[in-house]
Amino acid sequence: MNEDEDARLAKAAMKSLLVPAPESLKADLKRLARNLKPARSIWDGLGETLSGGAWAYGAGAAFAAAGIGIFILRAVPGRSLSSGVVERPAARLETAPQVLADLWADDSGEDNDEI
Amino acid sequence: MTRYDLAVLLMLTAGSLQAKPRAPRPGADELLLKTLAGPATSYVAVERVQVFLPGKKPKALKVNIMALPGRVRREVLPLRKKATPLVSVSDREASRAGLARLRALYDLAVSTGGVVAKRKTWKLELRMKSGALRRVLWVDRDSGLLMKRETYRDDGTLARRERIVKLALPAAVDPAGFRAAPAAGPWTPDGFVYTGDSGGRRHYSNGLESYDVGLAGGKTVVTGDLAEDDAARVLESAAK
Repeated sequence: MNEDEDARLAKAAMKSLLVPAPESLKADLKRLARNLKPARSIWDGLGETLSGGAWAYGAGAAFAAAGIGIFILRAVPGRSLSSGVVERPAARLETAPQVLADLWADDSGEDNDEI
Repeated sequence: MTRYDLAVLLMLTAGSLQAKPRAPRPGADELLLKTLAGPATSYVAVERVQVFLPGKKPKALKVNIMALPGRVRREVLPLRKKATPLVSVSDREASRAGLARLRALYDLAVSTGGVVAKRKTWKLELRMKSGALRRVLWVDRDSGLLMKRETYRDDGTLARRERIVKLALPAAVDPAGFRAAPAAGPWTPDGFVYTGDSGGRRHYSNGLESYDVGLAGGKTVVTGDLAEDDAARVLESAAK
């Protein structure tokens, strides 16, 4: 038996000792990790959010601002949330005296055809 | 008769034959009825309203008028171009009712008026029963359109002048401009609008002059800067 033959035999022995890797190793690893981690309920997630990190403060502030905005829009008369158009009250319209006063200009008092 | 006298006589005769016959002066009632009814055709005009407050500079504003027979649209132009104009649409009242009101308050007299906005006019004076001159109207001889109106105070000073300064009569008028319904509530003189109420009285103003409508002793009363005929019309419409 020469040296080349010994090396070939050794290589074949090593090959026979190796366990073949599964075809979808990545998917199997993910499945394994999921099985190890217990499932979290939605309430656990919400609780964590409310008591959680810095980004939760921003979300809470946005939620509060939206609530205040809705309250103000409902409280101001003549505003419609649905249409987004400013509506005048149906009651009789008042005109501010200052608006009327602004219509008048100084005049010479002359009595002629052309201004 | 000398030749000279004969020549003068012939010239005078020829001159009088050439002269246009004078238009017969209409009766006051007839003229007023025609004025209250307004022109039978549509027209477009520009009116200048001047107010003379005691001890102050005269003030004026300009109004664009479009009218169909029986309906008038007035647009007060603001000084600032971007400001919204004040628009009102009103129906003419029945001329018989208007005549009865004016007859009850004033003595009327017709005379020859001048030319206003290139139209020959009749002048109609409205005097209180006491003899004080309250209003003078200049009425277009052809159409009956009120061309100019002056209102006087008890002391005889001029309080207000409304004058048409440009006129196209007849004129094509788009009826679409009259879509705005006449304002609800009591009648208001041209230019006056409701400005609010307080103490049980409703206030109306045109920016310089104002009046109130309220109850006193169980009766509706009008107080403020209005001529008697305007105040009477406000009361009539408030009672309806």
